[in-house]
Amino acid sequence: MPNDVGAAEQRPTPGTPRSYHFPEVQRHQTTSGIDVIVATVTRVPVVTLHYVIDGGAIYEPAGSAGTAQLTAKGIAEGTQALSGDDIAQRFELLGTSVEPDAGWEELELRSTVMSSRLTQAAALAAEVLTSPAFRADDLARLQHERIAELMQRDTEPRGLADDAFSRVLYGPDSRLGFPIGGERETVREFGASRAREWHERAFRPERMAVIVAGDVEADEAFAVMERIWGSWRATASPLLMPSGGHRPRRSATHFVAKTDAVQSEIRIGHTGPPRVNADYFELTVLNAILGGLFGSRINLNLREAHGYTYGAFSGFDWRRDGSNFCVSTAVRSDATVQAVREIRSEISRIRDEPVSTSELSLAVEHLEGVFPIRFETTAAMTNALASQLIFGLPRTYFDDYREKIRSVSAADVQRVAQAHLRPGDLNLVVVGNAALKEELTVLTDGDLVMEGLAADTEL
Amino acid sequence: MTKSSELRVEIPLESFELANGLRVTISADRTAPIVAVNLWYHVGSANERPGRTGFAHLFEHMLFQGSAHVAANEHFELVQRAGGTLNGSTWLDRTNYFETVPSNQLALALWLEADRMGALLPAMTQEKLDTQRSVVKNERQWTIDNQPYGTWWERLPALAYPPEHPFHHSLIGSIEDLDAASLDDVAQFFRTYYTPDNAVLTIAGDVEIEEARALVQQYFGPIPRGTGRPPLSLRDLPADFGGWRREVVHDRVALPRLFLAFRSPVFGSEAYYAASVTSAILGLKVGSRLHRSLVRRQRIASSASAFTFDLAKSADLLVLDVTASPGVEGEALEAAVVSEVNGLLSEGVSLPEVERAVALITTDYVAALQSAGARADLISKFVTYFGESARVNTQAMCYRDVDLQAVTRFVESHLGPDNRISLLYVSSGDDSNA
Repeated sequence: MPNDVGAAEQRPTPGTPRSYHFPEVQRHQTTSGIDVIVATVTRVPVVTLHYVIDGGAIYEPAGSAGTAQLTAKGIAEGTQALSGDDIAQRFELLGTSVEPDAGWEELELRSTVMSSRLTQAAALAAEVLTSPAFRADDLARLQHERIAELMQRDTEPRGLADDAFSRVLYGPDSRLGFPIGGERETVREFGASRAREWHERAFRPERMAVIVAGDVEADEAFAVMERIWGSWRATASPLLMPSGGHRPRRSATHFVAKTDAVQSEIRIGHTGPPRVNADYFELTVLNAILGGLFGSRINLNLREAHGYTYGAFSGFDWRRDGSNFCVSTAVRSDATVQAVREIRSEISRIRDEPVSTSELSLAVEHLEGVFPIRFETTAAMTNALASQLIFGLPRTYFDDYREKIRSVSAADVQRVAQAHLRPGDLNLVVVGNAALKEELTVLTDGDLVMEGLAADTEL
Repeated sequence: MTKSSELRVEIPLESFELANGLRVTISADRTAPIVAVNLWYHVGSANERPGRTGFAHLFEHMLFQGSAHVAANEHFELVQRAGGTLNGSTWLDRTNYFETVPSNQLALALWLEADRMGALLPAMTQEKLDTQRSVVKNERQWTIDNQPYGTWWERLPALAYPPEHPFHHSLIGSIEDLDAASLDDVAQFFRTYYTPDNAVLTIAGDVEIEEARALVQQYFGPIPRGTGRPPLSLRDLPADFGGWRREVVHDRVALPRLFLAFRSPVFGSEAYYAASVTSAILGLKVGSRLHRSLVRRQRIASSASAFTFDLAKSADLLVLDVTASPGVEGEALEAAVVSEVNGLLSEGVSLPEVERAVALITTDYVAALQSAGARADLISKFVTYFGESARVNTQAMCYRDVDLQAVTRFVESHLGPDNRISLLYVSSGDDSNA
């Protein structure tokens, strides 16, 4: 109940908070060894099915970037009995669309249906996951669609900046230096044999989990999954191993000149610790203060104080290994150099001085308070549970989250800032107007690396 | 078919109106300890006077710069500190402001909305206006000028509505008009449009009705009713464009892209639901006509989709959005898309196509209601446009009730060559990089 708030001018004080707990989860394993994770929430008659497979882009050997994603899309293109068109019709008549995809660590297939459709959707998903036909014609179309995407990316400043950032941070010898979907030269190498091989090595019971959230009892969900998956056996196959890591790259400024650009897309950052690290909660608080919240230092500086941009933010892109820290913004062309200077100075400042009590409390109170709002829908719940699985987070992760955030101090924030923000290692990418070359050369004392677009634009 | 019982949406609704004209709906759901507060002001770019395009959106930015009892940038901080999310958006005929907070922070959310509704002007300064003008110009560049195809969003309404029609001009505005905006404009706009009788408030989530009602009365009650607004001059438009207008834009784009638009019945009208289902048949997800034929079979397109703008006044737009495959020319793309539309006219649609579209739309509608913020915004929408919050509970049924005959009627009356706009982007040739 809120306190007596008195006159309208008096700012209201909060009432007593009602408690919130992340939905309780029940776990089971099918006879075939697939983990089934169920969270029952009955408010709305929907269910989200979320299949997670440990077989994402990091497992691709050199020269085959894009295999995981093309294979993932490829499974929806048809089984022996059904064409891709048939599959799409069947799923969509159930009211769901299924767009299998690949991330760095994982392959995923998600479906949200009315609860009465659960069994049908689950059965169809199983067909697609276990028995893809990988017809050459269908896979060729997927490759062409990826090429079209790359052509679009090459005229689109945000995508150019994101991909250039990965390239400069991780280098051409690391898988992480290429986009998940691959580049032209690697996408060309894809075909049915690669897809079958990937499927055999990744789509196996011991690498798969099914997460179910929504209006279904755990017992029923377990029974459905056991019926569908219980007798699935995979033949022996070589283990998928993550490809090698990345070597440290020297700090430099990289410029992708675009003749018609009216803004500069800026990415500044460096590599970061693995997702599972001792400073994760401290880094989360640090990032909220530095560039995660609207009222963060970087956003208030670049947007509200200087009017350089519509928005500027920072973030850790967490991976099992090879994470990165990146400050991202699009600024007026004529403010490019000043914006870079301001970003660098904010990174230094948060290392040099402890954050204020007010900044700390804003971040901590926000992260604590917003917690239940993050998980309103079944899709948000399964995404969170998938993340827990992919990174091997503790079973009590969601139960402990708020307490861990609460315990972060200003001294902690400064400590992790000094440990994990490395001004000397920052790489800078600018996608902007060609006329900026001179200014950027001055900014970098002549150490400016000119980048082109992706090599060719033919099919 | 989806069980009818699953489409029975029964969101509780408690509606009332304050003496000053503020229409309020409270929808209680105590499952999670969060509450969404949502405010629709019935004003948008359509209300802008000549020479002030983009003003409604610029004004939306100003709403976050503080009010009589809220300092600059404090609005965002207060809500985020309370553990909330927040934003606002400007559309042609409405501007909304919304936040979702832990439920014990309801009073703060309401107090903040009331303070800026009742007493914005004391906090407005030239400096804040200049900064937000700069921010909006950056936003324009980021979303339109520095994006391939970015101008479609301005060109299409300009083609679809006559020059003097309030929906014709740019929502984000021209640089020239943004530069001309003054503090006097801010004051006048506020006094005219940001009044309780021009606003709809919805609260959805973990609330006690009487407590919420008392807070609303306490904070919003004292705000005086507005003194009148100029009516929106929206004359009735003919049901179709009366022809086929074409515009070809040469731009630095990698692939040709076609927007093919049709004038369609306004959001919420009976025929609208048939239009919405038709749009889904044509271009929602990969099982849609356009995708099956143009992307999958013919491979003449690399992507294809369709959507409606959902405008509740004057006339709506149904838009097909198709991007060519590499090597396909703009004219060939257009011919293929038009051929699909003509096919729909000559052969009609099938029952499974209608069922697929309805299944997708209704499942999505019901699933979206899990979010308190989504519920609140839907309720505000139905109250603003129709004066009926209860439509949030019948909306899914309206889609389900669309049958083959209704779709056929819509196709025949609205997809013909006398009701088309083609906006075609083609490469200007050389996308050179230094």
